[in-house]
Amino acid sequence: MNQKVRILLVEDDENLGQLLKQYLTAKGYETEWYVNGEKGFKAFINSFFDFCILDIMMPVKDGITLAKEIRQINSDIPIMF
Amino acid sequence: MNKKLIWISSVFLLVSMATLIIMQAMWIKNTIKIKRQQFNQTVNDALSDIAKEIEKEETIFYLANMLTMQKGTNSKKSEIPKDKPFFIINSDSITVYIPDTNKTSKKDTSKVLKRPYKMNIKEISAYKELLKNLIETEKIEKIINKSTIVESIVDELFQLDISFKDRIPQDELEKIIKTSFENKGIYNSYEYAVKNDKEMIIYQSKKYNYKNNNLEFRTQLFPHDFLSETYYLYIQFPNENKYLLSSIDVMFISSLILIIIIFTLTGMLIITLFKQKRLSEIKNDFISNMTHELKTPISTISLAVQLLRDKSIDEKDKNIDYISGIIDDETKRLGLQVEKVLQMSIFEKGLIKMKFTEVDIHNLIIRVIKNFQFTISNRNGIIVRQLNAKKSVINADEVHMTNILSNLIDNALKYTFKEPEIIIETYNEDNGIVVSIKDNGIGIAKEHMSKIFDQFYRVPTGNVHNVKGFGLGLTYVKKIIEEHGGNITVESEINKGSTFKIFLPFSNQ
Repeated sequence: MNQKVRILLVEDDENLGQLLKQYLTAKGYETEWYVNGEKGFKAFINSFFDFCILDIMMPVKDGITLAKEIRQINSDIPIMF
Repeated sequence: MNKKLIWISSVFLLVSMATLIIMQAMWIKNTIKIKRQQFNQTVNDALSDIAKEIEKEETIFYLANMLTMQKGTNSKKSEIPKDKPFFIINSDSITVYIPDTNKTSKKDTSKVLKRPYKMNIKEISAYKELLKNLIETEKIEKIINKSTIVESIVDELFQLDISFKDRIPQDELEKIIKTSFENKGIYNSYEYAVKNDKEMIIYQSKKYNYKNNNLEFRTQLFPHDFLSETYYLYIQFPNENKYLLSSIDVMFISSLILIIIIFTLTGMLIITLFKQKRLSEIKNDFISNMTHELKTPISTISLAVQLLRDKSIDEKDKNIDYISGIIDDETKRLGLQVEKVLQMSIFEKGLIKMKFTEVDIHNLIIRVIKNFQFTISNRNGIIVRQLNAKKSVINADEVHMTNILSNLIDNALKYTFKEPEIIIETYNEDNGIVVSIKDNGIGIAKEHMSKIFDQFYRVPTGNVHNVKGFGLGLTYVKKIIEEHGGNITVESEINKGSTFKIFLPFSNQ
């Protein structure tokens, strides 16, 4: 299994998001970064992820709501705040 | 303590207080009732005393009369024995002779009583003493002969034509009433009247009220006269209620004061409770908000450091310049945020100092706008100046004034998600200048409008944070404006925009 682990990163802070993405990529994970819950949810529907890292307080849609919506679609995926 | 519990306890508190007040009122009412009963009892006692006293006096007079008759009504003055007391009754007076034991002149030992006679209590007792002496010492058989007395009394009883006025004069009656009342400890004002059984008034005091609806006391005079006309003495107490109230006024007033105090304090307590509740909610919001705001730069910095130290990552993936730039940014941000909170606490303690100088508000506005020009044009927005004030120089602290203007424009931009249109207008009003800042942003709902100036207050949005902040900006603005002797108002409509109006006086002294 050579396929990279795909991570969904939703974080509204630019610096933190950027840095985290860079770090995770350097660590060998394929990371997609979105700046708010709404965009993150759209991405989640449209593609496949192995792991979610979410911020709680975000514009448009907060992390908790996003996690609930993700859970309705996929009840197994690990979510980290 | 949650809101429901506060409500329930407040309601319970109010209900129990209301019950307490009702009980107190009932208690006072009861006391008045008892006092009234006591008073009525006392008055009735006094009245029967009066009736007795009047009868007694008449009897004494009558006996005195009889004695004298027995001693010889028609005897001449020369025949008067000098060593024994006796009376001489004429049609209009009684002369009392008391034995001249001290050999003093006759003048000193006799007393002439006009009929209708006027005796005071002392005199009555003197007469009583005299009569007793006469009866005991002289042992006049005819006097002791009861049948003679009874006969005379019966004779007298049949003298139905004797008028009441002849039996007792008005001033004597007044005196008896007064004395009896005083003996019973009744000192409040009264009015009296004597009526016969046909309701005809014989005597009356000046303010006696015929149509009196208040309580009136009545007693029969000469109750043992069963053949003559019946007479009644009526007594009114016009100030009875006042008197009864005044007898419990200390109790009443102190209860009233206590009730007022308890009510005020309870009200304050409940208000404080709700205020505290709200404050703790706001503080909680602030703490969660602040932790998030402070945690973000801390996480970023620690992540950056972790990245730099991670030996498993290739050096060329570690863009040192970029990462150190981020660390620098975040450190500054952290510093600024801590500074903000610190400043607020300094402000809270009133440690802030104003440096008042002459400031041209128009210049200040132009300078502040310049700082925002870049952001606004980046967002395809516009900022319009309508500086209409003719007089724009005021006495103000330049630094704080710049801060509040920046704050308000920053808010206008932060809470406008479409292309911003900001209008800054000035005009003169009431010896001062008004600066209005209008935006086309999201607006503020009515229920939040009054609270936006409260410390830490942010319009609640749950975990959705579209706009970052601590809820300190407007508090600061308001405080600074108040320090300048001005005021700030807000008008807003949801989704249309908000207008903040600042009024600043030319001189705040």
